Amino acid sequence: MVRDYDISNNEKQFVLAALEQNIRLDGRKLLQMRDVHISVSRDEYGYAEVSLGKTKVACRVTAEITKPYEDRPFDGIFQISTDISPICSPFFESGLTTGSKQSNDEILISRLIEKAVRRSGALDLESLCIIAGSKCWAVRADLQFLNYDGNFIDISSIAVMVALLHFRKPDMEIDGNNVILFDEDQRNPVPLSILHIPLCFTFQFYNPNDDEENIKGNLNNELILLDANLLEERLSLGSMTLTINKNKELCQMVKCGGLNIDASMIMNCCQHASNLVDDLTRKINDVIKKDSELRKNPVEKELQVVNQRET
Amino acid sequence: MSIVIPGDQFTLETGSEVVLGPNLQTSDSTASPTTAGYLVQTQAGSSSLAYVEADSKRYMPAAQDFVVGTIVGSFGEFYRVSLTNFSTPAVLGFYAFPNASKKNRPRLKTGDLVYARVASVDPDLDVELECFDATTGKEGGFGHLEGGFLFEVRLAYARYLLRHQDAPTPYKTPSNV
Amino acid sequence: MSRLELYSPEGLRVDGRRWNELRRFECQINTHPNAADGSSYVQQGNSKVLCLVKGPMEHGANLAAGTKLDPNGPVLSLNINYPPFASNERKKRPKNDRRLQEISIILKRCFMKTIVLKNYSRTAIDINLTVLAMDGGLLACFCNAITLALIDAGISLYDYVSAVSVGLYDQTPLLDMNALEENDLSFVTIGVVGDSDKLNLTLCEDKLPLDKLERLISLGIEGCHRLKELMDLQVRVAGGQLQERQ
Repeated sequence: MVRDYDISNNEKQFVLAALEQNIRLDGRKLLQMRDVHISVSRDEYGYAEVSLGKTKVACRVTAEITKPYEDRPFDGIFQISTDISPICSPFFESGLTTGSKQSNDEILISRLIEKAVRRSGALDLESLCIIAGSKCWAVRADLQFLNYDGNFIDISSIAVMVALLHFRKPDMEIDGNNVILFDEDQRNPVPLSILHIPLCFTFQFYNPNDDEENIKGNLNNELILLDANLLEERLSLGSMTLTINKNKELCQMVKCGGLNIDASMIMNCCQHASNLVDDLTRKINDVIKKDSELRKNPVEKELQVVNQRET
Repeated sequence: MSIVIPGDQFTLETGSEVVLGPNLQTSDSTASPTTAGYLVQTQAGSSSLAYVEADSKRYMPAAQDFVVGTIVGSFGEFYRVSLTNFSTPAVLGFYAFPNASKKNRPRLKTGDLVYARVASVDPDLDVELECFDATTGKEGGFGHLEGGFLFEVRLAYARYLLRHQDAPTPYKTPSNV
Repeated sequence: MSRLELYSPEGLRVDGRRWNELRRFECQINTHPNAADGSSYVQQGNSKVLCLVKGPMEHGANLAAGTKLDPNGPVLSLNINYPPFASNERKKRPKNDRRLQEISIILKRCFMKTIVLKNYSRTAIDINLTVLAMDGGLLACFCNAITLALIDAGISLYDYVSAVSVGLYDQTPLLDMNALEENDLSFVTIGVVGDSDKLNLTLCEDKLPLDKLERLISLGIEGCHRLKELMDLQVRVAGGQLQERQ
């Protein structure tokens, strides 16, 4: 049986009354994000865990060598898998039940992440080509949703990007039609070529008035908030996801129905998101830089080789 | 207080009446816990109370518990009341309110909160709730809750609030949901 | 591959339009009076879409078994039929094409805010879309066709929802893109409610400089208002014919 969260009228009224006074339950401002916490794995490449408040996502990037698609012989393959299992919340059922509200959410989440990261060309697919038409890297990002407290889309985009930046594929040489892969100890593995870092920002809309006013009126006082938590997300009347990178390029903008919002307010959201994107990008780059510095200790590397010779 | 785990057996003091709280089951005069936790035995008036304090997450309805639930629908002459998200809803009769009659009964809507008492728990039947005091048939503070906010707390904390009159309450939390 | 000149220095596009011109927009309502409660046919340039609406009714034919009717409003079900012959590359689409699924969710959520919900509690409304030919503006055509078909079915709406796609060529925004332009340029689809500036749906899938967005949206809104007038005209003509017959 498909079940939803049972949210009482009391909670609903309380949250909306608070929002009208510019207060959120966790003390944030309407357009403030929760603190992003990013951790990457120390001893392997391409693993990141990101949490946004209580929402938590893990992402694992792997690569293997396969045959490229026939219609795209010069491109590598990049796949993102987003399977939302009941691990994160009983709200998400395993296996798609067509037509239900949950599967709708799941489709939207996976499509949005796919478009934000893959379609926007964040990963340079041509650089994954090894021998045109016969060998290429297939990079795969597996997202695992660990806990649900709203806003899966934004956090997923961060997680995938961090994991991609963190990932290193083995170095290789091409010898005619043969590919020689080098072990981590022989040659330093090489990072993927990431062209830009697209980040998602999801805005939720609330209406202090009735539907009629929303459509006919000119008040334009719909409430907009960023990075909703579970309760806020369940109560929202419409949402919009923007994907922006540091270069102030809009990679994606999806407002799937829901509350009607004046164009000027949408422009404000875009502006706000473009202010936030710098901070978040810096944060991601800091994490990656710190990690690569930890790994780049040359003495340690040297010692490792010596040790191996002796044994 | 001592830690007990399932499989332990202990005898209850006979002579006085012992009320068994959550997570205990008996056969004759021996009791065994169904969950790991602290065994609490307290004296309450003429009878003593024994229960196992465990930090379980999901609320299992037990008769005489005080609960807050959300109305999620109605069928026949019953409301369907959700006590915990994603578990089977309990039922609350249209007339399980003090002095309720066909003409004069509370009309609750989907999403309303009610404060109620678990009237009966049978594995084969839906859990039944009531909104009046069983001994007096009067209101007893039960019924529709208006305004305010519903806080989800741990079961152990809810029990702590219920059992300690002087418990510091940061929020006025009526019960465990 | 010869590079097509999508926008000539003289300001003409591949099909001879200026930057702010819509394609020929033709629409009809009540095209299938016997097959459905409401039907419409929308033609934007070479894109042709049919829409049939059944409902409001007690049971939806398209509904998955066990779906409960909602006491607060209708349950919309949307079925998109996109046959292989409709577009240039005759590719058979899998039944669970994610892109079409996403579009149908977007449309569903869009119209749930446009239909006067309180009039249709515990009912189901089935919407069937058939693409006859596709030459760009898929979501926009769908949106316009559904609006007209819902009007034809007599389902009360707050207002028209008209949608159009707007693309960007270098610095110039281009209104109502065709398939050739859509392939090479990034574009936004915008859905506007009635004569207001309020956006009901926006969908942008490609990279776009943020500072150009405002111009695109304002051009899109103008285009939507024009489409709304054209649709309104057609609805009034159909209404007039109905009156004469009685």
